[in-house]
Amino acid sequence: MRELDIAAFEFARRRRGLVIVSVLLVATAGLTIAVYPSFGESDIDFAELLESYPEEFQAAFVGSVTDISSLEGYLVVELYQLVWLLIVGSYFAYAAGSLVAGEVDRQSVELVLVRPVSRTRFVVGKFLAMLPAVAVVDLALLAAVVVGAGLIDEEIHLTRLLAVHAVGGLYLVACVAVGLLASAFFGRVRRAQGAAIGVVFGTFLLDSLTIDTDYEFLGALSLTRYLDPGELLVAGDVDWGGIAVLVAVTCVLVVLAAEVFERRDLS
Amino acid sequence: MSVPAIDIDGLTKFYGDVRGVEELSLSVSEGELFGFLGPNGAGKSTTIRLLLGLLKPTDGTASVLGVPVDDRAAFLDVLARVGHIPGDPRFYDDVTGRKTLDYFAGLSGDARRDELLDRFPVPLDRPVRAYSRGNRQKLALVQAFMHDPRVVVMDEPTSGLDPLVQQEFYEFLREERDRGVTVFFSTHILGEVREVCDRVAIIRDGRLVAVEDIDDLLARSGKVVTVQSPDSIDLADFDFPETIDARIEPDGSMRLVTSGNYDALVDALEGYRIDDLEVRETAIEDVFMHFYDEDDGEGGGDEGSDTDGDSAVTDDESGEAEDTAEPSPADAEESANA
Repeated sequence: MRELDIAAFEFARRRRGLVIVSVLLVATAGLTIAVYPSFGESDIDFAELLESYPEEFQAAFVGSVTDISSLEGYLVVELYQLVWLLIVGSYFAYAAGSLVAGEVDRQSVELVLVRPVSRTRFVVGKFLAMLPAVAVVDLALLAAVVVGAGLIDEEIHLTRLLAVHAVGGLYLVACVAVGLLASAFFGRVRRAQGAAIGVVFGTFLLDSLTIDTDYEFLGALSLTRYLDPGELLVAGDVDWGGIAVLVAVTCVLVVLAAEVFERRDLS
Repeated sequence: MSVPAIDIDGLTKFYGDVRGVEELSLSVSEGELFGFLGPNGAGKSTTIRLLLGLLKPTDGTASVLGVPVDDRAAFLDVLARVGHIPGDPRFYDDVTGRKTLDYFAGLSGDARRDELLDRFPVPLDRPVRAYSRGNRQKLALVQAFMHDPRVVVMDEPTSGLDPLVQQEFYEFLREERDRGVTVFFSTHILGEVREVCDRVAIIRDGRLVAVEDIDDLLARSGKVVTVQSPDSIDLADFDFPETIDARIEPDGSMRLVTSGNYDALVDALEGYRIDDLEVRETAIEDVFMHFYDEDDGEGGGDEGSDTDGDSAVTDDESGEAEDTAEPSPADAEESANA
């Protein structure tokens, strides 16, 4: 299984970056949760405050949550909707942008693809390397939220939290696939990473800005359209259709990336 | 006849309008030590990348061990028996030499790793970032041979190696050849070709100029006679049928390349006072002047070549060819195929 060798090697090289991202994310979660008790004690009517935001802003950063006085609602608004979907999603697209292009750019690919490793296996191996990476970041945040909630003596719905992280993980994997395709297409790392982050970030905005307009259908291009942390964590509704789309899109992108890379000249 | 280890037929690669190589045809038998000689930018690296399937040809085919490169699935099996050193080997900076080799071993095996590392030692436990150019080249060498390949394709493999290691490497290549391994390597250094190769293909501006047996090439090219005289030498006195080339050097000495008839030479010299006389084997540099100076040179073979004949292969650092009249034109060639 040479793709597993490739995946293991790639993952090992990314360990340090992953630790840094995980630590930052855990710190963000910790701070967010630490603020929650004082947030709940204040007299401000948050429901009113939320309604005063422009709709686009709500769509982007608040999601479907209407009640942020519960810890779940608060976390969706403060953590999952923005930090998780937009920032961590963009990070993984960006990180995946260097998977293939990095080796082509630096020419180390000339030492790998002259071995009995097909280009498809190479691409698949690179993709597989990011699965444990997503899992590490996902679990780190999950642990931080569970521990954080415990520390401030708040109940949190564990099954729903797990559901958010399971579906969120699939979303991040789809972001990786976006980066992988860019990486297989472009010969330069910078271009690949720029394209990947541009797509994830751009479609996120597209989804947010077109919601409840005539152009809402455009938001279907965005991966964020297919999961809703608010629905999952606050209401506990699992959108199986959305999950299916995320998985299908990931598969299609990986196949496309392999196909694009098979046809390319490497020089 | 057995299947050639490497068979290139009409291989052509254009990058847009820019020619990489054109109509290249040559065949390398199993167990041959084959040199691929040309100035920088002549298309050597392009040929090697085509040969390994990293590039797709515009036209023509290349086969290794009988399997065409474009038969992707079958060619993967061939790659298990192929070793490669790229022109400028790049590893993973933050990974140690040992882990780098572990990785490659997982992909294609490492039966001979220890033996090779004994011979070409590198600081295994330091990250490759800290490697000198020479150490990087040695690491490249180890990874190329450690799975005991049948065919090894190398792009300027000795660049960056210090002279002692270079000699060790030549010796190693001869041993490999004697074990039946086919070695194909590109170089712009003439002395290297003479030192190790059985045959050589000469490439220029993306086209094959000649494919020659080294011994034939040297045998046919005669000897170089240098005459230093206080008298002014008349070249007409030395115009024998055996004279391949005669010229007066800037310092007034005569340089004659002849394939024999020393009686006539001695007779002709009788008319001159002689300060110094040297007869030596033709350096390979002298021979190659034929291919790059004069297009109809002695060994031009049947491969057509271009007529803008102002280019020559770079001189060896040894300076064996200090008597060539032209300055090294390597720089002029550099940009020809960028």
